[in-house]
Amino acid sequence: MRGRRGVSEVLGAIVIAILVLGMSVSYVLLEMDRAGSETYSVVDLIRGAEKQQKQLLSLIYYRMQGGRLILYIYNYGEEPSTPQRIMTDKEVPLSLVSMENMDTGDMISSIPPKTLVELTMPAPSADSLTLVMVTEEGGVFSWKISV
Amino acid sequence: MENKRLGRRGTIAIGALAIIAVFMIAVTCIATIIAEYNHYVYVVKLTGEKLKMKVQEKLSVEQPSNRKIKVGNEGSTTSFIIGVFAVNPEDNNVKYVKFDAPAGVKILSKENIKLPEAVPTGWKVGVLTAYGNIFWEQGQA
Repeated sequence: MRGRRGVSEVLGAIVIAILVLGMSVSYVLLEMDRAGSETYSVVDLIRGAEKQQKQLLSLIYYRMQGGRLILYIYNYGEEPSTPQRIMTDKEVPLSLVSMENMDTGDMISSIPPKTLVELTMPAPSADSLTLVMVTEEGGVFSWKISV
Repeated sequence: MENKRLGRRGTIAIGALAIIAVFMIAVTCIATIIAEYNHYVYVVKLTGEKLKMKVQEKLSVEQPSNRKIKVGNEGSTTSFIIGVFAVNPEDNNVKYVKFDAPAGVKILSKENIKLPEAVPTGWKVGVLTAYGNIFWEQGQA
C-alpha cells in the first residue's frame, strides 16, 4: 500500500512537472513570437521614417517646351526617390511622366542619390501653381512654379 | 513527502526560468527598438545639419571664358560644386556639365574652375552644389 502511494506520488510529480514545463515553453514561445512581430513592426516604422528623412530633392530649374513642363530635380539625399503621385492643378498620371538621368542619359523611374534628372510631364493649365510630388519612400516635396 | 517537495521545487524552477526567458525577450525587444530609434535620431540630426548648411550657402558666379568659371564664396560654409548648368536664352535648351569630382570653394575665397566641356559664354550659367542649391551668374537669376 505504502509502495503504491509512492509510485503515484512520483508519477503525479512527473505529470505536473511535464505540464508546467510544457505550458511554460508554450507561453515563452508564444510571447517570443508576439514580441518579435511587434518589435519588427516598430522597427519597420522607424526604418521607414529614417528613409523618409534621407530623401532630399531640390528643384533647380524648370521650363516649358511644346506643351510640356520640364523640371530639373537634383537628389542631394542618400536614398533614391521614386515618384508615386505628382500633382499640379490636377493629378498627373505617371504614364505621362518620363525621367532622364542627366549624368548618363538613361530613362529612369527613380531618382538616384546625388543625381540630376530631367522630369518631363504635360504642361499644367494654370500659369502659377504648387507642384507636389509624393514618393513611394514616403517623401512629400512641393515647389511653387510660374510658367 | 520528499518527492512532493522536489516536484514543487522543480515547478518553481521551471516557472522562474519561464519568467526570466520572457523578461529576456522583452529586454531584447526594447534594446532593438532603442538602437533603431537612436539611429533614426542620428539620421534626423544629419539631415538637419545638411539643411542648415544648404541655407548658409551663397556663391557668386562669373564666366570669363567658355572653358572657365569663377566662383566666389560669400556664404558661411564651404561649398562643393558638382556641376555647371547652362541655359540657352534663345531656345531655352539646357546643358549640364558634371565635374568628375566636386570642386570645393572655401569661405571668403574665389576659385577659377576649369570646365570639362565648353559652355557658350552667352548662355545663362549656374553652378549646382552638393547641397542642391543652384547659383546663377550675376544678373542672370
